[in-house]
Amino acid sequence: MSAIAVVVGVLAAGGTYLILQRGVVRIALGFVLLGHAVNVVLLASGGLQERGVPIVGASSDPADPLPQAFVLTAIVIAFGMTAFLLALAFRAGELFGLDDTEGAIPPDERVDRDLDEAEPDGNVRGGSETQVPGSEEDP
Amino acid sequence: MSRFLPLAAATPLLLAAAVAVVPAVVVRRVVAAAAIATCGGIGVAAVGSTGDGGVLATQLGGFPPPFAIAMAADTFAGLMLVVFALVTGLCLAFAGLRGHDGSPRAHAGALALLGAAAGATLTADLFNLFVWIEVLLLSSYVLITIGGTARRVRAGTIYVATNLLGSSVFLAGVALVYATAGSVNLGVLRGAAAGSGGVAIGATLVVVALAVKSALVPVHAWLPRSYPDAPTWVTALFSGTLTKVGIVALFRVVTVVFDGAAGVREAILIVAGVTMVVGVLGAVGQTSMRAILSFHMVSQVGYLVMALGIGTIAGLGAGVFFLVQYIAVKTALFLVAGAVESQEGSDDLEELGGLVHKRPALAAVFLISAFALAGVPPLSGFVAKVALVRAAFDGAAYGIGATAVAVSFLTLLSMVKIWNAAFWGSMPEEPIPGEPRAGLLVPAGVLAAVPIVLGLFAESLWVVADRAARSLADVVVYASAVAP
Amino acid sequence: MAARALTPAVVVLALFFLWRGHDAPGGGFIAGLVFGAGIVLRWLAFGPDGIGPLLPAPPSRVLALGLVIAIGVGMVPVAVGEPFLSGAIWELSVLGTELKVASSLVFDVGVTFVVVGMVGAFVRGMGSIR
Repeated sequence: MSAIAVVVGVLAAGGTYLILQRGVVRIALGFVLLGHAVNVVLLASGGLQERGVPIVGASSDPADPLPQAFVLTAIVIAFGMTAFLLALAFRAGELFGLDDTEGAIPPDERVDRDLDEAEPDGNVRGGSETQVPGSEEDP
Repeated sequence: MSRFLPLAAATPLLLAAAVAVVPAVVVRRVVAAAAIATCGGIGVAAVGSTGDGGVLATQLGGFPPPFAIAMAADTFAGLMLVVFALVTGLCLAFAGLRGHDGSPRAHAGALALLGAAAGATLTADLFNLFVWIEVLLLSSYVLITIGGTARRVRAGTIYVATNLLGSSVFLAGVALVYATAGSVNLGVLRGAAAGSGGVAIGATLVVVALAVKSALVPVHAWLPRSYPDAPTWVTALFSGTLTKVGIVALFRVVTVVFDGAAGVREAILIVAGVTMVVGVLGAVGQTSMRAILSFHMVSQVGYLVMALGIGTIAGLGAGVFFLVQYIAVKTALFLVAGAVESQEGSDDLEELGGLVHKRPALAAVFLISAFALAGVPPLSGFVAKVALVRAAFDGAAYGIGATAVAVSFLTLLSMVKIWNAAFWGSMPEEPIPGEPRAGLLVPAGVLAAVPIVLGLFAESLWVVADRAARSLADVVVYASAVAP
Repeated sequence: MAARALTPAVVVLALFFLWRGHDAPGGGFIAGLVFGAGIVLRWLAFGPDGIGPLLPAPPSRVLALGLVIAIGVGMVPVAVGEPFLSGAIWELSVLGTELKVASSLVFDVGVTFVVVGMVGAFVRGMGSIR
């Protein structure tokens, strides 16, 4: 039990450290670590004893299948989120030359409001809105 | 009827996927209208068939309760479905009139947002609520970064990072709740926080995460930093749906899991008061219409959770009334800001002036909405605030009642500031060329009619709001419908 | 060479996982990931043009189609009076072999498409970063 707690603590600490950095890639990696920390907590919520397969009649002491379904769903969602964050980092790299979004905003965009028509297709690649709804049906 | 409930979420999601690959913008608009009508229609039907205080519930996949994911609609949920559908429709109409729905991502994102909002409103399962909120946020990430300009990428990064952090906290809370209570079904969790410390801690984490999503102080800073930089119609859509889903979920979780515990309500009242004051003061330093309105959004969220903190039926009813009319008013104000920006080339107060002569209709719509926001009689904002403050005093919450009144005056001052700078005074000497489009004011005009109608005929909504408040407060009926 | 030889194996493995997923380890998500791994493998071996045989359509369309299938199959039971996403199982006899087909297989096909589209969009959109 306590080993799991230490793992969660280390993952959460590393994730928090990375999220506090300025670069988007580091932030994305931080969320990957933080997501792992939470997934381990989720997994632990079903109990950590070694038990049988969760199929009716196959085991006298079946494991709880629900936390695994939770974790799988959470992983799928985290996958989509990471893809989107990395796409943002990519776009920030194109715009600023580095992935630091707090960097200078080009002068021509200072007064920018949205007179520019939305571009017809994908500047931010990877994370399209449609991929998420799919992820939730998974487990 | 109850088995049709999931369709309120599923239909917009399915059609969101479909419109993403349709090349003709006209077809996309028609499909979007159909999806929105389906969602709103189910909401109307739900309000209609829960008039006796009953709750519609269905178990997904036909699994037995409490193992299945349950979806349930009471009057509150039905009412919110109607409001979300209405706002989405009008914002998409504005985008169409403005010529900003050229990208398939606009329709797909807005429909996915609506579907997820409906799902989060209807679900009676904590983990499922997490999933819906993620769907909601991912569709909003896509909308906020449409166009991919530097400002939007920066706004998007702040937004995504803050909300992902909130989601992680939410998930950790769900894990703690499941570990101690053995279920994430809201029916099973009714009042569970009182009996178990683990559930109380987990549910508190969930509430904190929802506070991030609803932009309550001290976890509000992301909202005014990101909303003003999204496309205008997207800001309007977010103001009407996105942060309000957090509020709806907050109402549900706090009433059901904490069962209105006094300590929780006191904490909420403190947060509500601070949120009101910080939001309204933050608006003082801002110079663009949308930035000012974004800070007011934080401030007004304080009023909404104040209703939750009061917790009596009168308080909750006033909160529901406030929520419905406020969504209309705030969306109207953002759409006015969008129209100003479109026609004058900017919504920065220093570059505007004399609009009352140039565009009297626009000025009228702004004035009505701004007065409704501040709570000037006879508009609906006045009715809502009087009811809220009265419920606060009746519940002996004098501090929050006084704060609410004081903040109303500050809100009015802020609206007067916009009015003086943009609508009064002389026109700018070197106007920025805008791109006027016909009919741009129609969606905002429709929404601005809401505070007038609801102000003069408040009784009609009041009956429904009271029923919604009773359905929120009567958690026994809700729990037995969800987990019989 | 290895990539060319492995392509059919990856496809068969993905179909196998998809088929057995109803009551054995596997399922739509895993199948999609295996298929996606095949796409990535071909991309690494042959470059952006090499993924054509595995992903002939734009990824966004694959993704949208998958979503329509998955949600659509959940709506069918509602039309016949059952709760959303209810499943059915049919026992078929094909060429003397007993086959158990679950309606959730269709749902899994949708999930597979979503995951494949997602991986495809990822590879297409960001694979060209230098």
